[in-house]
Amino acid sequence: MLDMIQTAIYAPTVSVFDAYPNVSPELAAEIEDWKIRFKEHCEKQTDFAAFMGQFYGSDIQVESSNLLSRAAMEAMGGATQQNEVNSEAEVISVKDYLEQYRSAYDEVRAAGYRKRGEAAYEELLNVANRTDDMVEAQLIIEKERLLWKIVSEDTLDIYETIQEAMDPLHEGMTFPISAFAEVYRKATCDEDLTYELERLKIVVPVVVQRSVIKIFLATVIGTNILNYAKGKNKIYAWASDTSAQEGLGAMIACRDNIRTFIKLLKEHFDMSFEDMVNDEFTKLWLLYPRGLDSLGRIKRILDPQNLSAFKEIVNECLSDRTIEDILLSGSRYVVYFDLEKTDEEYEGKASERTKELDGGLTYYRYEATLKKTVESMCNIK
Amino acid sequence: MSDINKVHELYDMMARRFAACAHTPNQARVYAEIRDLIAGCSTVDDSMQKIKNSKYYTAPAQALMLDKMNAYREAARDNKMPELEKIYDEKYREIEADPMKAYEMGYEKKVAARDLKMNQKIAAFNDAYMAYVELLCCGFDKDEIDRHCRDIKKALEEMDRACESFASLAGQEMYRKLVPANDTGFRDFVSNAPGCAQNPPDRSHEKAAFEKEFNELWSSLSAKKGQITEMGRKELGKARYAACLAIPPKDRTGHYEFELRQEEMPC
Repeated sequence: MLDMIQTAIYAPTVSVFDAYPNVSPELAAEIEDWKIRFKEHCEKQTDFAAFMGQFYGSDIQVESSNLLSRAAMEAMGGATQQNEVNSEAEVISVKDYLEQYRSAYDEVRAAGYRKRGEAAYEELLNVANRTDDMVEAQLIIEKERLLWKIVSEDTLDIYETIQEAMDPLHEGMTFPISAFAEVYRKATCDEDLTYELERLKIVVPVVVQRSVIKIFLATVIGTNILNYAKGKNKIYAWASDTSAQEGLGAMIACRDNIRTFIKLLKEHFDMSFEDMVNDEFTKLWLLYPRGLDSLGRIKRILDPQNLSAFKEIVNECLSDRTIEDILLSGSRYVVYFDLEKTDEEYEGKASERTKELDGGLTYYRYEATLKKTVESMCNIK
Repeated sequence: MSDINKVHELYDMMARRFAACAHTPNQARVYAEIRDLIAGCSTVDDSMQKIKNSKYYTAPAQALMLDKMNAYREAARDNKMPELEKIYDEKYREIEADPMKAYEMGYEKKVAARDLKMNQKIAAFNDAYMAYVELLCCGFDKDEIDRHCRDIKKALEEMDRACESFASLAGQEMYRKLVPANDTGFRDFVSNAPGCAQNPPDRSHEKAAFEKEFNELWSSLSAKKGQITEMGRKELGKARYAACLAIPPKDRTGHYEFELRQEEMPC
């Protein structure tokens, strides 16, 4: 049990304190005491899922936030005041001061893909090569915003890598990431970030939900159109009276559903079916898409030529023509159904091609670690 | 540049940076005041001593936490979330009165509880709307109608459990935005969903109309089976089976590209 908790919670939580090696002896003692109690607490757990669910907001987690804030504030206060060379206090060298960022830098470098973050840390650590005067170092760090860069650049490394592996038209998935990335790009300080990220709390669910509804509407009508066409073919094939009756039932029911749906689209969404087909993203969801990679960027779909056939079917359903007349007149459109005999063979080819297309994406090289961010931000598993 | 001038420049630079940001008024003020405080000092030691003997020794840390709380408070206000705004406002005042209160993090728990409740309400409101749209599109199948109505009921109960009624949520701007329908569609949802949760709509007239049309058509089609199957030979010959891949564009302004199309010959 500790192995899982060790990896997921214990190690990352405890290692955060490594970034503040120069805290006061009193605070250092409190942190050590907390680490011991936290380890004991972790060792007592028997249910990993329950532990994960209860960890955030628990007393021991709040205590760690508290200690971390104090460590950060000591580092900040110390950084400013240590520069003002105090004859009574021991003067810390620029190199030693910057070494507190070494373990964080090592972690970023070990990740492999966080190149902007890596560069930002290197720029910060390099200050020690530019000056050995602590006040001068602080001036450089402040003027060049080096501490801010290690936050913003490193976070952008993560978000942009994920974003690149997503379908940009799928707003419901990309928005949580792209909106956060945009905030990091525009923010100039931590407080800007705090404000803007907090504002997104009410924006993200709206964009995601609107995208979900768009997909839902396209899926409902797409399914009814295909079932209508399948019903029609069942009657044409007339393998038996039962199957012809099934076909007829499907044609009538789907036609009625399509009529209801088109009315709903107009009355509730000020949209027509034509609008759905003309929307680059929505049109794809009329074609029964199935994601072939973990973020659904590459999709297998029905033949896009169906879109014009679908428009004709919708017009047919909305017309006053009887089903008998429709069946006896034949149709101008051709519907492309999904593969049947060669489905498995195609799935193999599609999977190979997807691997090729995704091969150049950084995300897939580091998916094991990045997918946790995707899951937490995009609410997908 | 002498060391004291460098220190002065550092505080000045920080004061100006914080002043330029809308969310750091406390840090802007504190760093400007420290800059002014040490303006007359001739050495770094003097300036350090002066700061140590003043309120400014702990003031930057206090200002940092005040600005952080203020940023949260303003966002909550702009998000029209008064309960959250109150939590941050209380914490802000606590820290303002006593800087040591910055180290007490209990407010996080209150915020986490509020966030959890808000997420539950959003999820329930969305569930209710989805179930309502499904109900509108599902035809006359009684099992399906009942299922969607049960889902609406469950979602409304979930909102009650999160201590806010459906009607109250529907009156809030954010929940209105969650529903992509126009005002007519939203009004329809708000006024009809609670009723559907209690009494699933009766669509037996639609079922009767379906059965009537089906029976009439079946007799008529049966009589013309030959003509229909004759037409069927032509029509079924036109049916196709195919699949392809959709590759998304690089950005939102682009178009999907389709490739690896495979078509299967009809039987």
